[in-house]
Amino acid sequence: MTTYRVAGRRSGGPGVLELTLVPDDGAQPAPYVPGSHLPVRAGGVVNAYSLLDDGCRPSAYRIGVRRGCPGGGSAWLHDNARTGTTLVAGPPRSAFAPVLSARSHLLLGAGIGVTPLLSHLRAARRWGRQVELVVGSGAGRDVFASELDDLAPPRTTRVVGRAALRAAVREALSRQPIGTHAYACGPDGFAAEVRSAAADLAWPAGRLHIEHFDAPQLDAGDPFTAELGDTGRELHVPAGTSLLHALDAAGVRLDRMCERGVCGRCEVGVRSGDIRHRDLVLGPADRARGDVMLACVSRGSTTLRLEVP
Amino acid sequence: MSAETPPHRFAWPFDGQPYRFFTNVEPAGAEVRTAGGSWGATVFQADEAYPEVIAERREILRRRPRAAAALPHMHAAEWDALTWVFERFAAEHPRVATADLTDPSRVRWRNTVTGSELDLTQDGTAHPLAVAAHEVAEDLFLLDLRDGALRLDAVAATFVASWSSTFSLGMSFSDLHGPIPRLHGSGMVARTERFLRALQPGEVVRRLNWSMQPTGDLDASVDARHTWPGEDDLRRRVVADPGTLRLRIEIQHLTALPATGAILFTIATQLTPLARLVTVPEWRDQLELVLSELPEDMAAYKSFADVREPVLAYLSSRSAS
Repeated sequence: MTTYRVAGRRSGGPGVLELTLVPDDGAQPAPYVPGSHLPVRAGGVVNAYSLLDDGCRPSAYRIGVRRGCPGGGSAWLHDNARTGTTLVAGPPRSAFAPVLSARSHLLLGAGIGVTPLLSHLRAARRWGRQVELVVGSGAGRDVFASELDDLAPPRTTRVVGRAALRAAVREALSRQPIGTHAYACGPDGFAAEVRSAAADLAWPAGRLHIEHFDAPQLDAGDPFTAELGDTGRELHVPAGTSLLHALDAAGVRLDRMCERGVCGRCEVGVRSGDIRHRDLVLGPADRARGDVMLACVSRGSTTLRLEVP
Repeated sequence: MSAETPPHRFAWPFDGQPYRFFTNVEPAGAEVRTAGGSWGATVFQADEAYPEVIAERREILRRRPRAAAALPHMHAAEWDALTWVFERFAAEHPRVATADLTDPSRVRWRNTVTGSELDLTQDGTAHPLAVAAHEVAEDLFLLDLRDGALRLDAVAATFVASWSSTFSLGMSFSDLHGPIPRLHGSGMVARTERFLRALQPGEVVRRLNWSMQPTGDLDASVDARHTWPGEDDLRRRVVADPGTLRLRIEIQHLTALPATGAILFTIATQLTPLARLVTVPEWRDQLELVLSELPEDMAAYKSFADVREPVLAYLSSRSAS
């Protein structure tokens, strides 16, 4: 965890705040992989915000913050973050990186979901990657419009309204060259639409990368049993209790920060059992292998045998 | 060529306990005191053997160009690696080299030992990883997350031990570790791969690996073995004088590169004959403990199963007690 100072605040569009953060101790911020997010503690909760630049030798971190529901961390930032305000944040975390072996990159964004795509676009320009962009926003609710004007690749579709975006996404997904990787970021409904369109068009799951920016609302889940490594110890995890907290009670302390499936710190290895993943960090390949989970939000749908002492 | 590492810089891998495989990873950069001296203050080695090692590195790359090879999608990661390697090396050894990276798509490099003066651009440099390998003593490898697994998608390596980095190009992390006994089924390969995938830019970690070798050749790769004497010949030499057997140490460093997230893996190799190592009494004792106890399959993997008895007799004869 590092303390950052707000070095700049400006509008990124209607309801969107752009904050520039620098380490409070004057150090150079760590570089980050394009598409990374920064877990920021604000108003008592940790949220992940996409970083806007390409991460190469950054002099500061820029994030885009959409005003969320009252009482949330984003609303707190809108109301309280001024130049000079200090904030605590974890290191940038890469979970939505451009795939180096991709032949072409299709970037799909809705609303504030354009933020990690700006980072991808900067990197694509730097490395001469073939990239196509499809973004949608509500009428009069363009986000980071001037940066998009500047970064938009030759193949760009910008539309207004959900229906137009749905059609444009489907159309773009339908005509990509083999070897293209698609990256989608937007609200949960948008992610579900992209997933469904990609499935209809037989996209390989490993070539579709989804970045959520709303942490999903989680139900209490069903009770399940966890076995601890080779010890044979069994742990009952009741509905409404996270695996992370059940392990705490059993004296096994995992690293953690956000406790809502965005920072990735509480990752734990799973030797066997079916996992109900509910985090925003692990990719489709991790989920397909089924050998790792985030203990703060994800649960077992069968008994899980964990790689913990 | 034998670039022998003196005991005062030797990265002694044992701690008085029997040896088993484990994920012995720790943060890089901290100097470790040993009974013979110290090691580990830097990622890159630029010691008295450096000019000689670089000369051999360049000769092998000239003779065997495929020792540096990369899949076509790796150019960005290679450039990322080149800039990281040059910047780190120059910071660690400012009297040997300087690197100007003001513009991230251009690097100016001056090396007073090799005499190199390079002005490189991102788009105009054909094989950035090979360029970097011409300037450092370490073997360089890049792992990339492709189709759901980390894969060895670029190499520039002239000093590997008993394997072929050229043959292994494109292999998954799990397949690369296929020949190691007792590793699979332990969950260690999967755990290590997860650890590597979770590395974030700026973090540098290291581990040590060791094996035994009958000669002082840095290049012990499968690609070079046809130039070595036959196995029986080598065994006879060690039996005749076990003090000539080398302990081969790999100082391995790992980091996630900032612009691409690819994993850079470096190996610095140290080779020192047992005759020199046993002059440090604590090392002699620890070596005897490890070599006498190691199970047969691991002894075979570490390349000393067929000379274990004469080597143990030698170590015993050098005991102070």
